[in-house]
Amino acid sequence: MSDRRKGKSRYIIRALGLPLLFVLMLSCAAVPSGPEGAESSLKAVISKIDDNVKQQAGSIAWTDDRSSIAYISDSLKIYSIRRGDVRSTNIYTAAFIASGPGSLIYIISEENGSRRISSLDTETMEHRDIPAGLQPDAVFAVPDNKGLMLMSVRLIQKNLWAELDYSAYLLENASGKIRQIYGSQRIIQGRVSMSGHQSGWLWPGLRPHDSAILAVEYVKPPVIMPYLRITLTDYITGRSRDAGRIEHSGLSAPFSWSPDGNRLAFPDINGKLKIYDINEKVTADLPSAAAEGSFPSWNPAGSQIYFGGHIINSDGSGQRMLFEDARNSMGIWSPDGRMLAVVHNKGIYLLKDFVPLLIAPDIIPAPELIRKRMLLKELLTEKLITEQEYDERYDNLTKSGRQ
Amino acid sequence: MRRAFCFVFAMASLLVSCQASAKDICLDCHKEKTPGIVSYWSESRHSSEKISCVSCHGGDVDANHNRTATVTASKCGECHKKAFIDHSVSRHSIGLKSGRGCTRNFETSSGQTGCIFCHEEGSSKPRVKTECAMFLAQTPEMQKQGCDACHRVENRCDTCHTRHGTDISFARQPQTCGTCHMGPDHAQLEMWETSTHGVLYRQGKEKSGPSCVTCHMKAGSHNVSRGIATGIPESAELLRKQERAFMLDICSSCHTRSMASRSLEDADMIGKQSSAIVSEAFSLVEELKNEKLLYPSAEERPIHPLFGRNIVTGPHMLYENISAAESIYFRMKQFHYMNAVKGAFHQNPDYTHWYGNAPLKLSLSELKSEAALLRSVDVLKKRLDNIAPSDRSDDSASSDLKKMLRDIIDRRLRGDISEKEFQEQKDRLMKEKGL
Repeated sequence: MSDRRKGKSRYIIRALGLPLLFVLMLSCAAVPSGPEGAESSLKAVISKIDDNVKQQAGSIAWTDDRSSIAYISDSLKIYSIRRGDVRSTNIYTAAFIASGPGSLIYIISEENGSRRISSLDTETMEHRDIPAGLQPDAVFAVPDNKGLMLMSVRLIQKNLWAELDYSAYLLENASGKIRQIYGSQRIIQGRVSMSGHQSGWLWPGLRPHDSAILAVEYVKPPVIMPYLRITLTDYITGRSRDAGRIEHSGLSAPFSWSPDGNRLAFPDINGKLKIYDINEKVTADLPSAAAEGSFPSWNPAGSQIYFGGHIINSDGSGQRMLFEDARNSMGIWSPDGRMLAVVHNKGIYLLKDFVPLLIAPDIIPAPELIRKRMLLKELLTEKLITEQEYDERYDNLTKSGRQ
Repeated sequence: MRRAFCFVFAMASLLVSCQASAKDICLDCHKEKTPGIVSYWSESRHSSEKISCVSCHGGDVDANHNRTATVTASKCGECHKKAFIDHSVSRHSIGLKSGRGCTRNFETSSGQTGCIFCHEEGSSKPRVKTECAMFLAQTPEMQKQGCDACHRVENRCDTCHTRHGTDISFARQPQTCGTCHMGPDHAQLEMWETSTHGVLYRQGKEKSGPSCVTCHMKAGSHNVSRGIATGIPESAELLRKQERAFMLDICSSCHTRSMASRSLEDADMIGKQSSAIVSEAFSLVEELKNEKLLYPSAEERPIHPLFGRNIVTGPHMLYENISAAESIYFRMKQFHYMNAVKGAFHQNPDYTHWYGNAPLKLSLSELKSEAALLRSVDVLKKRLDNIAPSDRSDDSASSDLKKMLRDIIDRRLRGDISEKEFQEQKDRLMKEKGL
């Protein structure tokens, strides 16, 4: 790229008021990346949506139909992709938002000291209460419109230790019933940061193409290195299974699921990106990924990760900086992976017209296999098959799906 | 001389007879048509005091025959002044005096006389707050037989005294009071009959035990409200004390004043406690109303006679086309509360407790349970409505499989198929579904 063009780009970016280098943006140059012959394009159009946005897990969500971005500023706001305008809602105390089906988003807001769950249609702006009698911190839409996952963490800080209560409830759409899926109380010595634990518990959301949530527990044995114990709890069967351990001296970490649900991207204690394979139970270091960040976010193709203001290929290669001074920034991909909303301490930015890297994308399980797995889970839940039968048949299904 | 005397006597008798005929133009016909009435009147003191049909009914034969010239209390009051005044200030005539009786107190079925009870003269504007929604919701026949037959006491003396007799022993019978003061809304007759007072009365009449009139119509007073301190506002403390003292004077003829006072104070407290339970129930029903959880809703009910398309839970509450919660509340305030309080004042422990206090508390529990149920259903409904649109139907292929699996599990449990057959059939079903 010529110096003249670089200068022009910087001029344009500064004119937009962006706190970034954004070297590759607007350059219209295809950037070689990945294995030989593969190319990815970072050609994207950037625009600033708002100066003010909360930088925390659940402060921004795409609608499933990609028509809008909802984000928490001084109130809950809706940015329309098509019209390019922002509409404010009267939900001033929104604390967490998540995408729902179509143009719907789900909201956790605070009202008179208690939490309220509601839905908002971003097209019609119709706002409806969903009474649950719980005080959740987060809400996630369960796939296929099966219901809502309501998650919370409570911290009681004592002088010498902290008590943390984690819980997850499933609100079933078919019956309206609420079932507790997960509950755990942990004692951690010393003082702990609530925001860190909240992010670690809430950032991953639901495991893709499965019916499981991720629970991470910090373990500090007397002799060996401290580690994070990873557990998967199935919200249909209620069964938990060990998914290995990750050496980590931090109390928690915000994990991001790969789109196939087989790997987790996470920052180590120094903010370097790591990948954990939950099937092989091994952690991959990514030496070529030098970026430091806090909230990794895998793109829907599974080929790239937004991390600390950078786009990094999922094997750690091809790191490109989008934003300076963006270690704590969060990138939220649109459901088709063609747009990226970035929450930065200077505001919220939208990057449009991404062409996702198609090299080494995740292999998403076939819909038929997913359907059969869900059916098996239902049969187990309704006690029509035994646990042993379930395990055998589930494994057989998984093996046949790989072939 | 003897013959002359007989002639004079016969002429005098004829003259008297002719004079009577002139006065009682009704009798000639009514002796034939309603001999019972004429006979009853003939034996009364009215007859001997020359109070004729016309004296009370007036001389307008047409009006009388059209049944529009009924004898009201004010007519009786022309002679029975003290009784009329006493009655007028008593609760027996409260509807008439306060205007709360509204249409049931029409002296005639039409005309200005009736309208002015409720409306300002020459205007449809209500003169006083009427309290007749329950009456207005009835059929004309029920209004007459079910409501007016008792509430006509407000302006009719014959409710207690019969129409053509004057034997006051009829009115003094407890059963006469019991015509209205019985049943689920205020069972004073039953309470009294089964109390020590009633049993003593049955043994030796008024010589051994008190009847209704002993305590409520002292010395023949028609102010039946004397001595009743309940219902008087707390602010009118002096009046309450006066009435209580009046009743204690009556009690003192048989009991020590202190014992009677303690008994009535206990009843006062039971009244307050029962009232608190009813108030709690009222608040709950109001909450449910405001939360729009009462079914049928205001839109689904017939229009309220006084308040239109609204759910009314106050004094004008109806007992028809209402929700289960309102029904429970209605029984609490109209039946159970009355039994608890009036049972205590009439010294009937069983009515106080088992017909009053117990069902009052049971009903409050039922109401709370009903409220919890209504709220949980509402929460469930809102959840289902507001999460997201969903057809909520089970996938037919999976529901078929589940049904068939349940079937073979049942057959195995019944012993219709062996374990081996069960496993084979199960494997086949699972294989068919690719599982």
